[in-house]
Amino acid sequence: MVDVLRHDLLIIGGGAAGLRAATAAAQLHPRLNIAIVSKVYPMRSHTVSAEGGAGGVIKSNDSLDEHIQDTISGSDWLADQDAVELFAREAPAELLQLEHWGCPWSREPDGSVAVRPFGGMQKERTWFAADKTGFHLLHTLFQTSLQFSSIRRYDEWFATRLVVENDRCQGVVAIELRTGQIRLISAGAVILATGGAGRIFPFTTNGAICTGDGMALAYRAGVPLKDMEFVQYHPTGLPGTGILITEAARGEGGILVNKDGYRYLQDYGLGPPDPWPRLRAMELGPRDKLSQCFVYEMQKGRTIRGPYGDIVYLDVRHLGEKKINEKIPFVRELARKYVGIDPVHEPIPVRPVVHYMMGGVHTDAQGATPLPGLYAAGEAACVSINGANRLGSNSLSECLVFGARAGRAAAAFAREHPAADLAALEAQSRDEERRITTTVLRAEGTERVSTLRQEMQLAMESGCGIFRDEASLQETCNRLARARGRFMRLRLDDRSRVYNTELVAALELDFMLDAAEAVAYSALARTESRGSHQRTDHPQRDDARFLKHTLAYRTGRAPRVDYLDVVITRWPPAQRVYGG
Amino acid sequence: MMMAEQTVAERTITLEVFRYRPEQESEPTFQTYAIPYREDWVVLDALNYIKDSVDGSLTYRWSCRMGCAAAAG
Repeated sequence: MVDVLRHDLLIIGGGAAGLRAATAAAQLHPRLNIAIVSKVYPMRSHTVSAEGGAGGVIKSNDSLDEHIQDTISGSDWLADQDAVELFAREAPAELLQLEHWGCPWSREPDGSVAVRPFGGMQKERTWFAADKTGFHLLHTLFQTSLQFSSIRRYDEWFATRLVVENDRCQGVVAIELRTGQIRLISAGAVILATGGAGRIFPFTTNGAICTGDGMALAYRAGVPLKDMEFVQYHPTGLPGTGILITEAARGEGGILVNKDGYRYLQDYGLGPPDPWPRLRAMELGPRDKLSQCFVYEMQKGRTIRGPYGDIVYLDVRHLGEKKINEKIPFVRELARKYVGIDPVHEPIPVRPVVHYMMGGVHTDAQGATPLPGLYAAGEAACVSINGANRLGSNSLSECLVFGARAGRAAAAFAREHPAADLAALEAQSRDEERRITTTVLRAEGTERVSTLRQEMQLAMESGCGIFRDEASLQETCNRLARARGRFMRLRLDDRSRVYNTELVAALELDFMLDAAEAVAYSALARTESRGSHQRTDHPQRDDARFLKHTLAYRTGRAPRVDYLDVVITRWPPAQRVYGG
Repeated sequence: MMMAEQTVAERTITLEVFRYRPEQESEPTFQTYAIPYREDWVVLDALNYIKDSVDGSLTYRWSCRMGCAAAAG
């Protein structure tokens, strides 16, 4: 038998949440043996693509209550208010901690930390490092993690299953991509920090790696996925590729215009159209509403036809070359490289694009899931502070605040619960190796991974997009079930062991089918409209029935859907009001 | 990797891909793929087309596809 890989604390994912969890645990317990399993080299985690910034109260004109209010109204009252309160309280200290670790936050002329407004904010509170905030934040966390000799990394290892024995999570089974060996990695506690699942849709800002791995791992272990029907469309993605043009472009003063050059948001209760950026109005309205306005505008025939669907224009020309280069240089770089226009001279074609999963693995404010020993943080988790629509720039701060919390809580659990049942865990690992080898790697079917992935993505886009209804969602559920059936008849071109990325793609598709199923069935069951979940057959918010979180449990057939009350502390449900 | 023989009339392009399969061969070799040519594709789009539709065993790293993860290349 090969040596068992044993650790106290195992973290799946090396992005912002995973690295913050690791450093928090290592600082608190220097003797704890910590490992990070990441399917990519950690600096390729999707955190790297975050552009606009991280939210946290720092200026004297701002207050924690305003950050909390903006987050709650942004969430359409579906966020847990106790969690939002502690999030707002802890975010500034986390951002300052990053400063001390070397994150190059952009500055005001007087040397203080600069902030910019994002959509849905009463006050400017988004910290930024130009418009490559995620890049700098991730590199800062990564270099900091290197100073802890207690943190071991498994780079380019892909976790395929949680091992659960005696009713607690005691590690994972993972594939080492370089060799193809499948190994048990045991631990006293596991944190899922695997990010989102945007790739279940065809048009997304998310990188190739955002395949809902941690969500599916937990779901298969009996842990519910919470609020999965809430999928955030960002209003400004580049047509074709889906590459994000940050909200910071509008925070700095960019405007959205239709085919007539008209700032159409004023027609949907978001006006008045001031020439300067007005907070919580027009282009600085919340993401869900702006994406919905695009659809209304398209229905009126006032968008522009393009080769990759209809578009409107994001115009930043009036900011001038100097400000564009200083504040949003990456926007200019991306527009030039991927749509061939220079935003200094031409408006940028954009359309709404799948960006973020508000839902995820059900956790409490310590990151604990209902399964002892299993924790989750970041986009993979749902605490929930994001409710039905996340406030822009809260996600990076969420990774830090709840990554650190999960790291500390999981470390404490691991110290009291070493992985104990190694023989049983090894048996599960051998089962998993058999499953991967016989039903995926050497499957004798006819279906290609890419065909099924595309079918899943089209099913999600056509029936489960910005607007949904019962018939469209039922059709999506049916198509997903058929895709799941076809997945059992797979055939890979590549049966090798070394860097078999087709095998990884198949296992990622397997995960995505689970995540997609949870999204579609949760959306079907929620017969109201709230935030990003807009049912044309149930257009009103229904607090009497649905001021509740959805919990989807895996059954092998349609998921079982249950509900959990939202925590309301000081902000009773009210109408969301934007505009001047 | 290099691109050769662009045939605009048929809108196809031939990619010569330098690859290595240590379980099958002792040295890296070039493999040729003729695929559709699209004006707005980057090299990664062409590789993804090959992997999805022609040869699933072609292996390469990619992640953010927007020039900031440094995974591709």
